Amino acid sequence: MAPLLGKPPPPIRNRIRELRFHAGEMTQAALAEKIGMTRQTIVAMEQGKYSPSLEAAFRIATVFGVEITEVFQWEG
Amino acid sequence: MSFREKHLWISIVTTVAIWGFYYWRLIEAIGAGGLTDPRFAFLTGGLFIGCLVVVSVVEIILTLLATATTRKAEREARDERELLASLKASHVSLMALIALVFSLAIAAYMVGFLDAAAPAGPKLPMTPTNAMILFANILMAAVIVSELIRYVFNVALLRRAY
Repeated sequence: MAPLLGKPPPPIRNRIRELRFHAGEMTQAALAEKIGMTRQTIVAMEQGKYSPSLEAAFRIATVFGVEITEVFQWEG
Repeated sequence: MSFREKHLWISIVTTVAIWGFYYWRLIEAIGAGGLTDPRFAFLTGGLFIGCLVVVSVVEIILTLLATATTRKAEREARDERELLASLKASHVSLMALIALVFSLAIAAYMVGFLDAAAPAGPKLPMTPTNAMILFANILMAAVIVSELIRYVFNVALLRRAY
């Protein structure tokens, strides 16, 4: 039976924090605004607690002008 | 704290405070023999409508405050993580509501059955009208509890990142 508060996040690593730094130290709030999400969700992603949908992943990659695989890597 | 989480906290606080007050007063009235009082329906009805108005007004005021203290982009964000948390909390809340209503149905049937089967005949310490009012309040409590479960579970999911 799955835990009541959800299963652990999948083994997907991301470089969002690093890419934000290279994009002129873009703030979490600025990135959130660009992809139409909340800052809390960006925080959760950077902490590896939440893996975004494919659409959101593409949006993030587009903001940084890189391929999606440069942002997210499967570690399974 | 996101706008969604602020709104959930507003709902938790108003629900616990105002509906807690309502049911506290209802229990007091029942303890004072209200179930045999022909005015029970009017007294509880008036209190219920009063609490409904207060809940609405307080929620509107606090939501306006939350709106004023949250950036527009944050308020208008259609966040998938918040949506997922909300859907999961709604599912848990619905299951809780079904369980509560099912339990109440069994309890009401058993009370009625045992009362009817009593050797001395039916003798519930309440008028039939007040029994209906009491059952309506118990059903309303089930709805309030299930909503409270939804709010709390949603906050918990958002806090642990979903």
